[in-house]
Amino acid sequence: MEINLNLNGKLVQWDAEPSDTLLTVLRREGYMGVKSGGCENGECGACAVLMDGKPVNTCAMLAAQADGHAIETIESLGEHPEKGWAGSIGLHPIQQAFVEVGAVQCGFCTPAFILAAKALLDVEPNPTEEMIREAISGVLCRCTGYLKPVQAIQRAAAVLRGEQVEPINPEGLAVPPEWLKPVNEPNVPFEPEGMGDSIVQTKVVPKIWVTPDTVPLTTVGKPEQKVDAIKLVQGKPVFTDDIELRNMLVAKVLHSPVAHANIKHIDTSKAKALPGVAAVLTWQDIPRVVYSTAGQSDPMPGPLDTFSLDNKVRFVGDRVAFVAAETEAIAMKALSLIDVEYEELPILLDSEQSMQPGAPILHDEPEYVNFDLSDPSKNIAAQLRVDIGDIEKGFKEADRIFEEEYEVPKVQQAHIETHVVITQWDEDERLVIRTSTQVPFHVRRILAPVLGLPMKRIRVIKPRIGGGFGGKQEVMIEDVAAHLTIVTKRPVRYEYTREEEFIAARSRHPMKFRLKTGVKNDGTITANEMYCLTDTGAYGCHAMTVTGNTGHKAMALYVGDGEYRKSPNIRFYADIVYTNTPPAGAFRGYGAPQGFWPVERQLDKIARALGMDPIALRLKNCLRPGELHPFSTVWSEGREPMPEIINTVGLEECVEKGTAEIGWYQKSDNEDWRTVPDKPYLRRGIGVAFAMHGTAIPYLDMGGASIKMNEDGSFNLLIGATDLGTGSDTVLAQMAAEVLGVKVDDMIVYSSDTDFTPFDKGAYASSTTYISGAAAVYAAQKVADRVKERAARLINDKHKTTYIASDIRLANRLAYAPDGQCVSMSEIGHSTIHHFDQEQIMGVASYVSPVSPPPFAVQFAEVTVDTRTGEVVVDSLLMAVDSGVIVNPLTAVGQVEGGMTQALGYAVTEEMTYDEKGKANEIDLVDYHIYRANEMPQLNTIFIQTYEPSHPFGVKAVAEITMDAVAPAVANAIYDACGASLYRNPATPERVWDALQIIHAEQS
Amino acid sequence: MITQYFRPVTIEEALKYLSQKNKSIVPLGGGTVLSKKTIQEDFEVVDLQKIGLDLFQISGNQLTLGAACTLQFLLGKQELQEDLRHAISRETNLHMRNMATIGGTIISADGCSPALTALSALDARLIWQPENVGILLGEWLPFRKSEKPGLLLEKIMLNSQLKLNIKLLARSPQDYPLASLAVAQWPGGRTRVVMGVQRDKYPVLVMDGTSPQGAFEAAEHTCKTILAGYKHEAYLTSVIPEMIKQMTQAAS
Repeated sequence: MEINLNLNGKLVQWDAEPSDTLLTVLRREGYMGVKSGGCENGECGACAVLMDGKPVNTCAMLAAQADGHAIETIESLGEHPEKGWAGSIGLHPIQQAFVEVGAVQCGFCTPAFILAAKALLDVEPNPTEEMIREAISGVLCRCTGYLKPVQAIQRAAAVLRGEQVEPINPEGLAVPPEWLKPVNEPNVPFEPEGMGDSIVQTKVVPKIWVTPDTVPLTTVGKPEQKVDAIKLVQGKPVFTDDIELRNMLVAKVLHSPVAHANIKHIDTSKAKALPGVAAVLTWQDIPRVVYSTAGQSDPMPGPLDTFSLDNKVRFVGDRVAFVAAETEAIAMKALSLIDVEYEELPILLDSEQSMQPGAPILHDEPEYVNFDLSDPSKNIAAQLRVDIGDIEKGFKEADRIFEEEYEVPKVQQAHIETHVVITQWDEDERLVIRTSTQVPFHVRRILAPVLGLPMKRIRVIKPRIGGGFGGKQEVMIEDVAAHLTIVTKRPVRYEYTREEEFIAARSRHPMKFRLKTGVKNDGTITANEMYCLTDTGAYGCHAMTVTGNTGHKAMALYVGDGEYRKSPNIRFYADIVYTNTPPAGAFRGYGAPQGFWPVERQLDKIARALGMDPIALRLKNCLRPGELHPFSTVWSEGREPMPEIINTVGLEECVEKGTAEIGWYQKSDNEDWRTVPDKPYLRRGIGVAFAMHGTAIPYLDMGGASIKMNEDGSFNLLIGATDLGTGSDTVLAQMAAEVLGVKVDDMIVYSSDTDFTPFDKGAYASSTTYISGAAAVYAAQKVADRVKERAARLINDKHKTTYIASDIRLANRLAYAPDGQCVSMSEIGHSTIHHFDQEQIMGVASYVSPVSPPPFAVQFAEVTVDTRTGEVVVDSLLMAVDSGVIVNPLTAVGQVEGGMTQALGYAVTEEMTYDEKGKANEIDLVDYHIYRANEMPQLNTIFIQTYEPSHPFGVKAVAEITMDAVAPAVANAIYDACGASLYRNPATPERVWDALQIIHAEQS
Repeated sequence: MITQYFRPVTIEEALKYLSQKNKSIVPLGGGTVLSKKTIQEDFEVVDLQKIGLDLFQISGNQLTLGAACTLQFLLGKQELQEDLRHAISRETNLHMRNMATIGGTIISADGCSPALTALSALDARLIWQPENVGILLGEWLPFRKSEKPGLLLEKIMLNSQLKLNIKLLARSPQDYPLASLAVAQWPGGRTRVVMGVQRDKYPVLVMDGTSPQGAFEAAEHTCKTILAGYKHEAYLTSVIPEMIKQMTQAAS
């Protein structure tokens, strides 16, 4: 049929099938700013356009319905301000505001936000924040926490009203000049000075407490615009699925409907006979190569227990067959024509049953490769036994012992861009894998044997990523498309639906805990013992390392006081077991959010039992600067453990500033504050939790960077690091620009491509700014050395001087001699490449860290509880965080706001559950509720800067610690409000209500 | 999948399409349900967007909502009870409310639908075509899957003078509820209580009496009946009657 649209102000006439959605047709016609979140219920809103001025979701609308209507896509708005001789209209004020305010993270939902904002501002030029939040409530964002988009829309509204707006990055914002020491050599790393006396500086959003001894820097520490923001606000085709290849096939996977079965027989003949089907693959068709899908460095720290296709299925959603067809509809039809005979086996859903005698065994395949203490005959994927000090002695020395059991659920990463990959043979018949991955180099290494290809015959390209959060630290779907390209010799595209994300992707490991803590009456912890039972699901991806981090982070923070600081008594034992549920894997926080739930709940209980302020109890026992990381001598995720001294701990300052900001001492134990006038059934509460994380994996993970100078004084920064929306491309460019004395937009960043960029382990373990950033700095220093050499020669030739390279200082795109003479970067570049003694100035560097300096944080939460129903409204979240030097306040605060929001779901709404046959109860983003813009608590962030001496700019991590402490802080606030004590998250109304009934029963 | 798309411009034309025998032809409201790619069977659709079913009329105490009124359009109508608008706002997100129609919601919403629960409590009357058949929503819901009073739901009629009190039990302020509770009260004292839970296919009537009296007991009885064996049984059977008791007291 024919449809006529007024599209972006122009009449268009297209052919469409009656069943085509508007999303399908718009993307087919090249409007790639309309994204797909893989859903059919319109829950994510990434596919939004404006129809007759109102936002609608194109995934849930037929193209035919739009016939005769006016449709606006993001392509109707602005463009890059530099478009050559034709000129440019520039960005639309809303797009510009999103760029300036830092409202763009992964950028996948950004076009939808901008269109929703336009719909609002077209009719309401002066909206309230409530109106803005309502207007964007149709768009789910997993990155930002919505605060930055709201601020961007407020800013755009002001611009559109013709008002003046404050610049985001005024000069001297980071540190008042009078507080600074004179600096002659800005590129020399400064010495650690500790916290010293501090001053608060209010940035666009975050407050940053800086040390007065901080050296002023030009770009590091400044809220620079993200290097990819301009293309993302325009909805440019930058994501994996945004390219179309000639003759590309669509892949689909037949997923198992049963939780545990042998495949007795598969008949694919009817599917293969269906016109338009190019290939159908089963386990009988491809090589049987055992591997692990975990995207980790070599050697793989976990069991090898997975095949691309197997003759056994181990969870509802496991793979049974692959199909490639000309269209999605044909591929779906083909799936329905595959006849499978299953021999069903007993199923194992409860992790507590996994190690019991007689339990069904999931992995009896002979190819299984053990790792460390894995034992598939007992369904054990991994085990951990960590003893520090003398735990029994510690308990004997305790005045009181507290022992409880806790539990945390399985939750989903829920990145808005689902997993997606496109594979093809290139002109050299090398396999090109274009994939939305956090780990392109691991993809290449892991898949080579699976596909029967030498690694050099594979090229992995990582375009922009629409969020990952660990979910894409998995080599999970690339093999599907690759096998089908190998067999069909054609390009193949495979994209998960939202339902597949729930039934066949990875998740956070659910865990059960028993925590026993010995304390003296003064609050000194004498011993802390945790047993952890982790459910890894059907496969052991990240099994050992995630749970190792549970102990390594949560059980390391509190060492005790006095003599116990030198010799803490800690035990961490864990069993990581298989069940017939979808495999767990990496998820932002990587084991630490699980561990901090029991630890921080228990600390609160202890404080109340001892009559202590919960903050005082924590400060008394937590790690301090100069102390040994207690786990560093006994366990490491990477190589052999090596002692690590913790140089910086900003917890005391986090407490000081955080308590003042939230009014802790005014609200805590204040009965007047707890009550809500005229609503006796509502109770308010305030809670706190501490957190410690890590920065990278010591001795193991390596990042590389390459920098090339161009003749105009710009630089190409090639990095293997994978910016999954966090802003790491920008942050790395800032650090390199700082060293080279140029602007950030002089750095042309390219990441990542296994053919063209240096190796990088990928985006995980909170390592990019620290590891890849150090590599970028060292590469920049090599380039800077050559630039200075060439600058000295140019200055000497011109002015008959005798300067040497070490005399030269780079700043403001210039190379200065001590007498003030200078040459520009473009002069240096041009001269070096074209005029004399020609050379290509380049620098390559890599970095592996011997330490993993922990960031620290204090998380506060305020809640209101409806004691009639158990419903909880989280009113505010405040995180005071020590992440070392903040390279970019906008991207860093975006990490904190987004992380707290993701963790808010872990605290209150998010949970993956299964029925008695192992079938998922939540398969969309309706039942699995993530927070929307119009129900968010107030978010507040305070950065406490410390200077980490192991990094050239003093940085530590920020991305993951944000996940760690929200859930226990919320639960502690609930207890404060109404006495309901939760041992399992999330705090659903039912759980809170159940806990209240226990109180009522005790009272009666 | 959809094999044919029709867009009539009159009700009569729509009825002509829908009355064709030996064909699977269904009315298309906002398209939010029928556009799903995963629907495997073949069928044809008749898009109702141009046949004038998007009217909103007030006549004395009577409100008439055209079946093709979008949820977001209705949300802007101050003549609707505030709690009804609240229920509509919680039906789905803004973008979907711009698409989804009230008629489509009545046809397809699940047992916990806030809007359906509220409309049932208000004893909404549905007018079907052809033959202008009127039926009360609450009476039709139990037979929704099997019996349709006509080919086309034309409009929904409401009494604007009723008091309505809505309570949605949910994990967060905008979460789709685990349970929807609605109490409507007539000026003469008639009280109608409806509850929706996710387990059921439609919201169920708890009580329709001449006064609020007995609402608590009726809710207890209904909970015991419909929630037996449900995973949230203990919680809901305790909380819902108490909430309904408070809601009826507030309505009085």
